[in-house]
Amino acid sequence: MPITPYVLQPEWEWPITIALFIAGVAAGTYSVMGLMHFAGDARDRVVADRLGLIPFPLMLIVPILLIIDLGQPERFLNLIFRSPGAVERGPSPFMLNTNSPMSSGGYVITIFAGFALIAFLDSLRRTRGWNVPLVGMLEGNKVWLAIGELLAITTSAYSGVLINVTNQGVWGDTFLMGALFVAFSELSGMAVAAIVAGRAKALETALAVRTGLFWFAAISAVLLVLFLAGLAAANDGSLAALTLSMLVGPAFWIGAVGLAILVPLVVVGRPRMMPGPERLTLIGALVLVGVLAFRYAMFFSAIAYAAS
Amino acid sequence: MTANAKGMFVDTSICTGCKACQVACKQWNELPMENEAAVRNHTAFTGDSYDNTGHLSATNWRHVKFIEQIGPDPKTADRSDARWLMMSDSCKHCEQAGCLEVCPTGALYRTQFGSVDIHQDVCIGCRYCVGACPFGVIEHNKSTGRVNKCILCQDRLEQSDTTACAKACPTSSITFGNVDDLKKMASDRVKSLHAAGQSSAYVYGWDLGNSGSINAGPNKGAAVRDVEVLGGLNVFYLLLDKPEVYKLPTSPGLPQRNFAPSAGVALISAAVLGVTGLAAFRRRRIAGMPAAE
Ligand code: SF4
Ligand code: SF4
Ligand code: SF4
Repeated sequence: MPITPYVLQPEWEWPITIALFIAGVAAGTYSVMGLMHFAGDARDRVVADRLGLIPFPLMLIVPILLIIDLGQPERFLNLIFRSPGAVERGPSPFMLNTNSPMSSGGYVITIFAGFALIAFLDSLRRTRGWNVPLVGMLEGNKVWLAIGELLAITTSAYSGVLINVTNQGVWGDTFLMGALFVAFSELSGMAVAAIVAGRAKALETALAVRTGLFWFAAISAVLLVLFLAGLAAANDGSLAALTLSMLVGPAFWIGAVGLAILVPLVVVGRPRMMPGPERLTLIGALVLVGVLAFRYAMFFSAIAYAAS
Repeated sequence: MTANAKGMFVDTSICTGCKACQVACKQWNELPMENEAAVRNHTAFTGDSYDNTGHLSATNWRHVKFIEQIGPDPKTADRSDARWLMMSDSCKHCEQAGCLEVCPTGALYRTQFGSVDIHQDVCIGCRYCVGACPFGVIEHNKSTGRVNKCILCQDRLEQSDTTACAKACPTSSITFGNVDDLKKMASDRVKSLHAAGQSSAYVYGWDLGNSGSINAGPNKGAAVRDVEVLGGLNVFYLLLDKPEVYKLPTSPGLPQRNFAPSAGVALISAAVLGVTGLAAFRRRRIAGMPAAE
């Protein structure tokens, strides 16, 4: 059994949890916007354009929080640019360790932020009539969109794979963390779309978003059950640390299971319980809180495991 | 393995727990006390053991573990079968070092001696290495915002000197040298202990083919055998009881074992989510859901 109880926990707490939650919401939102471009039609245009405005500002917050956590802004650059002191890494001005999800993921997130910027400018062009040179040329370009989707999905998976590639209890016990984080990120993106569609009273889009919320919650539920089964099979106390500890247990059950999964499954799945798309805004907000609770429970489970 | 890798063989059977190695490490590397406030209010020490350091940390790069097996039953006053196991612990300078593998900045690096050192000016304090070390060795230093651990006295090795802890050890429990020579020394030592009736002895870090059975303490009678860990440890041990008694993992793994499967399953789940999402926008509605009111 590779997980050992002697591992120290890296004290990744609030700044990192919030930063990666925000990156996940940005990626999920971009991804749902892409789905609208690929499979939606003119009825989804209003919501898709508004969604395009969201990922880039969110991605600007991420490095600020990470810098707060690291303490010094200039250190942050060593993730992308090779510090002169790292002589063993060769002459390249860039620093890439393909064995490290933090290193390779850092590049993906940086490039994704670029795509988010283009989506932001494109949305400004479409909604406000801003004349942004070159951006208009990418309109309807499916290859560009597909690359953006791939980057968004990788960004969604990033924090899950990151904590999966450790020797921490809960984090490293299964290899499902990446999948779980993708599902919850996409769920958060659909939740943002629900809020936007509800507020815009975009009725046809709201219908599709309701369906998406339902199915994304269902897929997240399946993955969560598999994940819990994996923790049980590991038999190292990680299941109890995640689900029963006072530190993360309530957030896991009330937030991740209750708000993020059961609310969309029960409420959205039963049309009579949700008569109008305007309630979708509330549902979306509840799901977002649930996804934040999921992230909190997962990140802080390392502390709960160490204390158990 | 680095040619002519340097390391240390720690023979726990002759450690007296004098902590000279711990003091030498603190002194040579100018390591501060653990937590000044805790020292002042008398909570810095464990207080229930001669092992008053408790654990390795960013400022304790070496730690002498005292394993107090008071028996036969610790709940009674009968101490007729009491024994202490000592073990001077530090970074193992693993051949497959999880800390080094995950470091995103190149701060952790393999030296010309095969050891694992840290460029302090490169480290960004992300702490990814902390969760990757299966032994709980490397720790975040809150006063510098970077990480610290034993560096196999890199500065001394560059001057062709031995490590400070090995030099200070009065019983030669810690021996510094070429790992190949140390392995031979370890195997000879296990054999001579077995010949003298100490059948518990085995090597933790390399499989040199020895096996025996524990002859004292709660695990008396249990079989033990040499165990290779993470492709071999350049700082390795002769132990007298099961690894977990010394708080050492029996079969630790590299965190990278999860990288490809985790990314692969994430990709598959993303594909399923993508298809479902596309279908949601194509078909619009959950069966039975009324059209927009
Ligand atoms: S013992 Fe831990 S800190 Fe030392 S080299 Fe191995 S993984 Fe790295
Ligand atoms: S804390 Fe420093 S040494 Fe550890 S992984 Fe991060 S950059 Fe590398
Ligand atoms: S080798 Fe040097 S740095 Fe490592 S424990 Fe010994 S004295 Fe300390």
